[in-house]
Amino acid sequence: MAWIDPRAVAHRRKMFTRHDAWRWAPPGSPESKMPGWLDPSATRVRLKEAQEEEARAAFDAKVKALRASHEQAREILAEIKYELAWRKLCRKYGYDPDQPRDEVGRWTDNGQGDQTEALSDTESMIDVSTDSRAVVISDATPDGVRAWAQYAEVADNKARDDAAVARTTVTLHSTLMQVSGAIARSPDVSPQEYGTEVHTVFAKTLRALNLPGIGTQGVEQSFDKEGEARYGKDGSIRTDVVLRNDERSIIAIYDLKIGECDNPPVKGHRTSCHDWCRFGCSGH
Amino acid sequence: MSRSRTFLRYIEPDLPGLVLCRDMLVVRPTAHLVRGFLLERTAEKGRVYLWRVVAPLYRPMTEVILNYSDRIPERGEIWIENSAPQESIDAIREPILKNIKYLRDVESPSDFLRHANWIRGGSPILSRLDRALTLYLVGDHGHGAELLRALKAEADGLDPARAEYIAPVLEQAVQALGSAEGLTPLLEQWERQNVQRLGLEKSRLSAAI
Repeated sequence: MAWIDPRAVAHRRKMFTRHDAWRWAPPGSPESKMPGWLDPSATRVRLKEAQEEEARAAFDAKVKALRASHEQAREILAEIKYELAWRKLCRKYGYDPDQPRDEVGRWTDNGQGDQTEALSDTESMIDVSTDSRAVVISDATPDGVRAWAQYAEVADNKARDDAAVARTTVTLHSTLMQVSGAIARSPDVSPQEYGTEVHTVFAKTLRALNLPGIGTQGVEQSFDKEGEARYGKDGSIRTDVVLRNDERSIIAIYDLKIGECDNPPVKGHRTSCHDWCRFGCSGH
Repeated sequence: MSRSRTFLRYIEPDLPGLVLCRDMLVVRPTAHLVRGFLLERTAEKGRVYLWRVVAPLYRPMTEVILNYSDRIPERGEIWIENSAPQESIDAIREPILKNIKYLRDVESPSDFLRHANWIRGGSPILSRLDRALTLYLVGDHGHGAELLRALKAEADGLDPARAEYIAPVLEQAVQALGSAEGLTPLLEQWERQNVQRLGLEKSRLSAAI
């Protein structure tokens, strides 16, 4: 065997133990790949896995949001049902929350009351029966229902429809206040997204309430010149709430407007305004 | 293919007597009325309304009208998700099964009068038009013609936007009333056009089962 200089042997040995030994391996062999090198196919798999993971996370987030929205609507509905049940109870037993009471809820008046005040209440009830807007105000109190009952006795169809519109407006307003109060608007949510959220929860609540003259069908209903149509049809319009009378004629169309409030923000003040735009209508 | 059609296509084999025409499951046979079920999409992806459809075909329409249809089930909305196809299909199929019998009982124009018995003098003009045409079709020619002429007089007084659709329809109907054949050929012509436009040929009585 030929003599080889030990220094040359040591040099060659070091070539395969140094940190960049991969550079000296035969090209194409596994050893020639630098540490941490990944086959392109493995890179594609990792990318796909990452995308799937991302899609899964997005779907989970969406489901979570929908569940939260659903729960929110249920809570609102429960509150409304409670409120309605409470009003019904008040009407049934003639409870007046404005009557003076002691700390355990007992009536402290001697039963005579203030005659002048009682008379003025009666007079105001007579007055409200001639104005639907006044009925709206009175309907918010337990006594207002009596005014409403008087109003509904009028046989005239227009008066009947006006009364239905007034009553529905109150209910819608009350529902909207509860819905908008339950939906918190975070800073990263755009006005459009917030508006959509309020519309969605409000529609869901209304469908659950199944109000007379609106039902489930009068919520988010589309129309075109031929009649009731499907959402998205060319030339159709989408309404938020439609109120019908017994003959199925449309007596009011409500459009929910959501926008920024012009008033300066103060503590406890809402950052957004909600309002109803109501269009008079006499069928389509 | 639309998502509505995709989901309804999966349901179709389980429901004998129903045939998928475009994106509507139609109860066979279709004669003067179309009866069926369709999904209406909403602004929210995945949230749809399921409609139990009843619509008279003997007046011109570009797409099925929903004046006499109802959203089912009572709560109004259904969620469909591509990621949960079986649950979505079940959610659609259940209310359909409950409502098939009702639709089978609304087959003839006289059934339609019963179905839409809420139409009165103060109802929307389009509903009164449908009632007048139906009355004519069931053989009450005198009453039907009288109502149509009264409706034409009313439509002449409407503002142009509201009269855009109904005025030409009533014009043709009243003209046909004065002809020797009467209104029936015109109603048949509108019916044929609607069947073709809505793709309902498969659900006609003459179509092969």
